[in-house]
Amino acid sequence: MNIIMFKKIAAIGAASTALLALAVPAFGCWGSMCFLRSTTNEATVNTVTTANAFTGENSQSNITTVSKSHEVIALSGTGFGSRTMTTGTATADARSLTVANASNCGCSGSGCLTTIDTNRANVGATTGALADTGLNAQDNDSFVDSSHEVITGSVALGGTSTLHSGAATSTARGLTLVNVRWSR
Amino acid sequence: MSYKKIRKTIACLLFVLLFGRELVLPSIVFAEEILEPTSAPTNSPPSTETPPIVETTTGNATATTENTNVVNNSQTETPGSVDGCNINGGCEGLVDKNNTAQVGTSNASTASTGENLSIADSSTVTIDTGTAVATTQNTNQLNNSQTILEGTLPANTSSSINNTDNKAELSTTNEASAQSGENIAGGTNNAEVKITTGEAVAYANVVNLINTNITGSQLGIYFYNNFGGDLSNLDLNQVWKNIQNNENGGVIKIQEGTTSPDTNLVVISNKNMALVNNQVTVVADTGGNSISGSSENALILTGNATALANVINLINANLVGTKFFVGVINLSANSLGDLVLPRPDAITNQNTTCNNCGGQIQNNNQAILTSTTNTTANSGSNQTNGGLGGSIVTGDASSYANNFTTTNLDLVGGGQMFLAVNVLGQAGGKIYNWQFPGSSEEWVDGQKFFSYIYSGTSQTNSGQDILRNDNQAILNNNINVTANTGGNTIEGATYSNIISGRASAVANLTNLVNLNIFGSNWFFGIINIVGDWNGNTVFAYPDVAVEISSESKEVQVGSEIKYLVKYSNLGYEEAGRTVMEIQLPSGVEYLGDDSGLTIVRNGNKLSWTFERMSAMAQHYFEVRVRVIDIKTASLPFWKRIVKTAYAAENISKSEIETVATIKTNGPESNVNNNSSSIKTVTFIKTEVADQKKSDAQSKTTDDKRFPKLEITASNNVNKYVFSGDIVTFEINIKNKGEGIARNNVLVHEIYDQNNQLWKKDELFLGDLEAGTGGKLNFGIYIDLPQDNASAISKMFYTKTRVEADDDYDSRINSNEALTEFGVQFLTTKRISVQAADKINGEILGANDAVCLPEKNILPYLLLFLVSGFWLQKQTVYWLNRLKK
Repeated sequence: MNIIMFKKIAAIGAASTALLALAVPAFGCWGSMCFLRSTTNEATVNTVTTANAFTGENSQSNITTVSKSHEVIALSGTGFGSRTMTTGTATADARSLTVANASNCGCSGSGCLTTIDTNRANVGATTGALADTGLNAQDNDSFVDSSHEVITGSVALGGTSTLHSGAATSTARGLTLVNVRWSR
Repeated sequence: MSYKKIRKTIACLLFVLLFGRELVLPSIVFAEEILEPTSAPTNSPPSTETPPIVETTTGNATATTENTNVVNNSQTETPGSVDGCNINGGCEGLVDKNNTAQVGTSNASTASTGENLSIADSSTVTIDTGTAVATTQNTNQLNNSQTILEGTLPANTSSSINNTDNKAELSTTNEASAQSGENIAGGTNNAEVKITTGEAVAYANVVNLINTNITGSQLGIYFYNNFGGDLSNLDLNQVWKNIQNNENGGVIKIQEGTTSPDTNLVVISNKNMALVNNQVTVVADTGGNSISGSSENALILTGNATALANVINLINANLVGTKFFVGVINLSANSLGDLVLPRPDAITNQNTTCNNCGGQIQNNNQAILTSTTNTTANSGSNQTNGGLGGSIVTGDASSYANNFTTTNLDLVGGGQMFLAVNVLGQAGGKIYNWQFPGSSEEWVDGQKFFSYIYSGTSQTNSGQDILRNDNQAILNNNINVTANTGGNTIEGATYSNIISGRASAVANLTNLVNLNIFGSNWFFGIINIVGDWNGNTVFAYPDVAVEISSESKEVQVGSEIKYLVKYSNLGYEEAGRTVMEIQLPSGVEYLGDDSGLTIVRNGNKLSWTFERMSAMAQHYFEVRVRVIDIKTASLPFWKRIVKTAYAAENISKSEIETVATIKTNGPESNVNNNSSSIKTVTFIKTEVADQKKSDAQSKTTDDKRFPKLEITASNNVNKYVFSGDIVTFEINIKNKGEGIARNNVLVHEIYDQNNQLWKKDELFLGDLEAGTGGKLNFGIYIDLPQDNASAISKMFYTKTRVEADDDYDSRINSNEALTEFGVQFLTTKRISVQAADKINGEILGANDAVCLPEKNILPYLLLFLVSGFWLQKQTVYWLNRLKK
């Protein structure tokens, strides 16, 4: 098994495609003192691995209300009530590692070896990660209710608004190895 | 004061006195029930009174559920042993075990300090909840068969047959819920309303050990939870050594016995069928709090939420002659110092010989596995409405979902190490000795995986063992883990502030199904560290060191020098055979020492040998010597011509150097502290009258011009080279004498760690004038064969000196310069797993950190090569969600 074969196997697994493979039996040598290993493997594996991290979806709605304010002469101004929003970092990491129908030969040197491997694997792997620090909102609104004696007025009393959204990192990693065999 | 206000004050005082600060959960406080409604403060005249305080404080809550189910476990002791893959003994005759188990278990733990309600008017309202910790631990052992091979195999034992037929059906439901949030506070015209929630920690550990057949093996399952202990190191290296040595670490005990030379037939037949369903739900919640009504200031401060689920399924495992470790560890960062781990070669270099060529292994494995693992960490979704402003600050959210599945694995004569370390916070420490002994690296992110695979065995013609394994497994896992610190709401306050804590959700699902492991080592661990951790991760190697010191700076000839020698092993691993040497200079004789150890003297070289040195050990002893001569007086030439005038005496001085070295026979993490030296000035006093007489007598000698050669040596090896490399040396030679050094010959010798001469080279250099010098560079090919399969490395040291003729038919020698270097023979290949991005479906990120040369190099499976990819379906789903 070389690196290229690994890449192919993993690429198929990563595409979440059912993989059916049949290994060809390998014969080393025959004899009364030979080491015989016979394996028949059937594997059906379905995995769903998801990680979600949220620090967002926050909202600040500031409403300045003046109600029944009979003595207000002037209502105007800016800079009242600063709003800040700072979200932390969101890290989502989902990993799926599936090894099915694997063996090492474990036989070399002066001895002889006979192995018969029959492997069938059906693997579906779904791996997903979602990290979200966004979807934040800041709204300002001011209104005067029943303020009979307001001479002049403004509805914009809101001060500065600051929004810092943290970093979002999501990582989904999947590795599927099926019907593999390694030896010296 | 009005009658109304007096009633109000009395009511508040009564309330505080009655309920105090320690309210038991669930706590509901309706302060408004004993207070009459008050008018809005905006319409009231300014008051100088302090508003009453309505305070709700809860203690801590801890809930623990532990459930262990053991069904049809058996243990058999029989004479025999396992050596590599060769089984000697077993159950003589025929042993049949037919086990059927059907178990359903449901466990839940709930710890809550939250869900409090406090409503009051014209007050200061606070809710302060304690910590909530919920733990569910469930272990299920069904149809496990252990065969202990112990003692001496009886004579004439010819055959043994062990048949096992296991059927297991298991259904588990485990829940852990820790709640300190979901509190409600409010009222009208309040000065301040505040909700502070404590930390919530919930974790569930589930281990299913089903249909496991263990013969002549050590199996260690290690569960450890510590969220409140004192700071200490966690030493898994010692746990692994205990498993190796059958001490307290494994549930299986084996003692190697003397085996009969007769070849016996051992047949082990295992037939396993398992049906397992696991449902795990873990919730940690400090959020979901709300403040409503009208108040000047409102604050919600939520604690950290940590939710962990660790599920291990070891199903249909057939272990023969194997060391097997599975560990799940949950720790608070405050209680963890360093994490000490076994070094990879300590796991993989065992059982390298597998003598069973005449045997047979027949495995039939069938597995149907379905696993869903979902983790969610949330510190957001907070909301403030109304008022003039405020802030929302959310904590970090970390969510890790890991699924490690290995099914239908046949491993013969191999070794595997896999370790996942999750730091749910900031990792400030370093990782030592992972890449190679002495290496150090920083943590990159919160998760780190250490994997190491080894496959190396040799077969010889012996043994007739037959192993038959028929395994069937159907396994379903459904794991949901949620950590929440967000979802908080404030409405109606003039100034609103929400600060949410850190949310961490981790799920580790490990499926080890249908494993047939023969003569191998297996180390598997998951470690979760909660909080900011400043400890180090150390793969244990020895680190021997030596220091030599003395209080005597100047010593007269004939006097004693006392050297204090400190030798130590600063590493976390025990050192093997260790040799310490002290090279005394010429003109000094050894008198004795108080070490109590056996000393070997070879001229002025003193050596002590220790078969073992414990980890983190320090020793001291004193060596006494006497200065008997100044043979290498270094007086300048003009001082010999024009003698210094002293009133009553004349003084000759010289400087001597004593060198201490220490070496151990295995690899160590630091070789830069293996030598130490100290210089001492020696002098001799001569009476003036005698000096004049001596001057007259030695006038002829003083007129002669003698060369004096001094050399220094160094090599280019940092720590190790590999066999086949070239080591280069740099030699600096100086003639500090007054005469010419003729026919200089450089003698360069290389010794191994057992002080055996391996190579000797001589280089003719010609003449060297007085006061001149030269530099010489040369390389030596290190063509060492690997003479021992277990030897990973060897240490070598070099001695270099220069020999030359003076003008008076005498052969002179320079000092000896020492260097040292290590040679690695390691035949394994270490795989470093790194994250990589996906490009066109190719796997990236295979990084062979150390690839050691060997003609028949092992072709490794890159089992733990990690590649990044996104599935299209999920991507579309997430993009759509983001667009919303």
